[in-house]
Amino acid sequence: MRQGDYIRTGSRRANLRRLGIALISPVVIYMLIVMVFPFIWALFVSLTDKKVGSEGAFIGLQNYGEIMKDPLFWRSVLNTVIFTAAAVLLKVVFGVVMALLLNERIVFRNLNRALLILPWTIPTMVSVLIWQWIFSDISGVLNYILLNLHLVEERVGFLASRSLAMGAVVLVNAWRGIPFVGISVLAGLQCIDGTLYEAATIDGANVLQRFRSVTLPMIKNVTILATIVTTVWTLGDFEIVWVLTKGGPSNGTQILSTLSYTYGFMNMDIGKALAVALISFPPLAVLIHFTTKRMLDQS
Amino acid sequence: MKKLVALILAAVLTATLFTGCSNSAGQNGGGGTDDEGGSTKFTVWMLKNFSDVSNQYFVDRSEQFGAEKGIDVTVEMIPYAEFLTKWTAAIESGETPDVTYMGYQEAGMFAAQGVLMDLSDVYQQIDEREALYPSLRSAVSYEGAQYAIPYWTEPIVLHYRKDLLEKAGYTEPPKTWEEFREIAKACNDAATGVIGAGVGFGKNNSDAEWFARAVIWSYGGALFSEDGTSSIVNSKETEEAVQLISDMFLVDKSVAPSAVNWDDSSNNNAYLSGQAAMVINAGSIYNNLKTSDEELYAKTGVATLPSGPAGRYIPGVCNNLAVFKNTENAELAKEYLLYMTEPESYREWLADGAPLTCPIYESFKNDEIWQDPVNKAFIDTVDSFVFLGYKTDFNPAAGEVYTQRMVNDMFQQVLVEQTDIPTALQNLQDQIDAVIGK
Repeated sequence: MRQGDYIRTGSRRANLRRLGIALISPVVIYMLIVMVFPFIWALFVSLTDKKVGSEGAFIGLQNYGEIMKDPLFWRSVLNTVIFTAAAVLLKVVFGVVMALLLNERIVFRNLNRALLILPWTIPTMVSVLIWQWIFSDISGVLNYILLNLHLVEERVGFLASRSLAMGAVVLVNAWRGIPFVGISVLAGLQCIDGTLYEAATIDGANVLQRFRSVTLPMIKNVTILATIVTTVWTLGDFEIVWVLTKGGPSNGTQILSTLSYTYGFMNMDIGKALAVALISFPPLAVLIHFTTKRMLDQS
Repeated sequence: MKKLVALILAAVLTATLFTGCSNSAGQNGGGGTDDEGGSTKFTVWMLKNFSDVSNQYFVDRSEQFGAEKGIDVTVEMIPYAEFLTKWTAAIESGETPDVTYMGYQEAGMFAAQGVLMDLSDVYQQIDEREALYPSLRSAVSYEGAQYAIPYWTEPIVLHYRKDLLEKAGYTEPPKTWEEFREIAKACNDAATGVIGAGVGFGKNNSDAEWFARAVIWSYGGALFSEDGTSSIVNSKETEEAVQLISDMFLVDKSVAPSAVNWDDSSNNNAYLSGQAAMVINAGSIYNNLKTSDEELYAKTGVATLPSGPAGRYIPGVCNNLAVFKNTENAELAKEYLLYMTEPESYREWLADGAPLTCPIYESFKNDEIWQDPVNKAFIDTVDSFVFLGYKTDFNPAAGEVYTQRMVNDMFQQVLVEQTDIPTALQNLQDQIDAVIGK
């Protein structure tokens, strides 16, 4: 190769490099502004005693120490785990069942598919307010039905005990989240080659065996991915719990996101609110890591 | 390396889930001059109350101020439950409104944090123009200065269903809290869905905080000592008061099943839907009934709150207008406050909202509108207002205890977890002491 060729190749590489930097820089700048700087700011403020309207002095890990000693924080951790586990389980089970049903040749299949997405399309606030009315003991429809069917003798306070309230927020979260899992799994089901089922049938496989040997392996990846994504969303859920119960009764539905909000906006303790938010970061980071890794691997 | 990058990306995304919201606040706040060099923008955040006429009058009057001053006035009507979030976000972002509604409990708290403007001079001018109720001064004062201008008071009274009480054998509303319990129990009817007492203790319920104090104080209890340096809530007197309420919930079951999850609108809804025999509330229910349900309006009676062994205590609710320190329109804000409290137009605004909106001017109680028996029942309580902080004067710590709904939390411990009352009171006392000690 002549010297001129080397120069031209080197110059081309440099140009390509500059082009690459130019193309990627908007994303990097966006990430810096929208994600990295707020994260660093949050981390710094969590190390201060900042209250609303005050500058706040550096106090090291004091907020984290106080939070770790606070029984309410540990109750919130437990509630978050229960809320997330129960809601995700319901979403995955019913999402998969719904997808399997809608993949069959049932009547009004397209209409049913549209109805499946409905809970997901209604704004969260609207749907939660409707559920609040359903659960209400003042003109609430659920109590009305139960009383008229003589299934209960007096009105039930669905949001009045810790366990019932937790059940209610899990139910509403699951109701909203099932469509996402359903649609994801349905997309996976649509990609299964029909000849696989034909081959399995020729080999003498019955319905259950076909499901176990063909369907399940083919939808495994998409189900796992949908489960991880919905777990991350459920862990970060705030609106449903806040609107329905405000974390009550008696902190029975207090989860980490509502606790952080309570510290920040009710108690005006910004430092502690951010510490609560950041303390729950490691498990979420691991989950998001696996999600992105899986997505990258698949692509 | 790829794993490390993915992990960092994951970390940043996670953190953003929590921190992203912090930068979106205050979009509707902020005054000053617009970027194109046009007229001055002047923003007011006002409490949206239950009278549309009253709300509109306030907006019209504010816009009239804008027209006279040649500025662009924007009034945003906001429900009470949303204010704390909006103030917090606005203060942090620096995008505060020029003038805002503020309860005295929050005004004290924000004054102590140094974010409110000293309005002592405006208070003085208003008071000299037309005498304010003397008791209101302490509610808006912090270290001798006034940080908010009272705009209206909201007496809390007992609303009761005359027909339901009569059916249960009572011709008069309860005079004492013991009678209140007795009548609630007698009126409670699971078959028809009637709740004896429409009271609740939801996590964020502000009505409950006032109701609880009315009962506790009338039994001789108090949250604060006379010098305000400590909490004395864990006492025999408070225990009796809490026991009475607890018995209504757990023994008589004369409240709604989900009363421990009620918010501020629940008691209104229960009464307006004909499902509560008695509720304790400001005049919003009466205002609503006047226009929406003549039949229920005719069946509704209003009475002063019952008393206890130590007497009758009416928690004072004083609603104000305040100005954040960082407003660019400080002088305009002061002029606006003087304009909005100008007695004659103010009198018209009050008339639209009566009996929910009671006057700040003492002489107004002699106006014809307040001689109406129902309105009189409301306004007569203003003279005997007792403010947060009792047995001492109102102070920021009292505001913070109220804002954090500590009394509600104590009741939730008793009613939901069934913690014994002395333990729950000791927890509350420790919490209040912690606030005082800050």
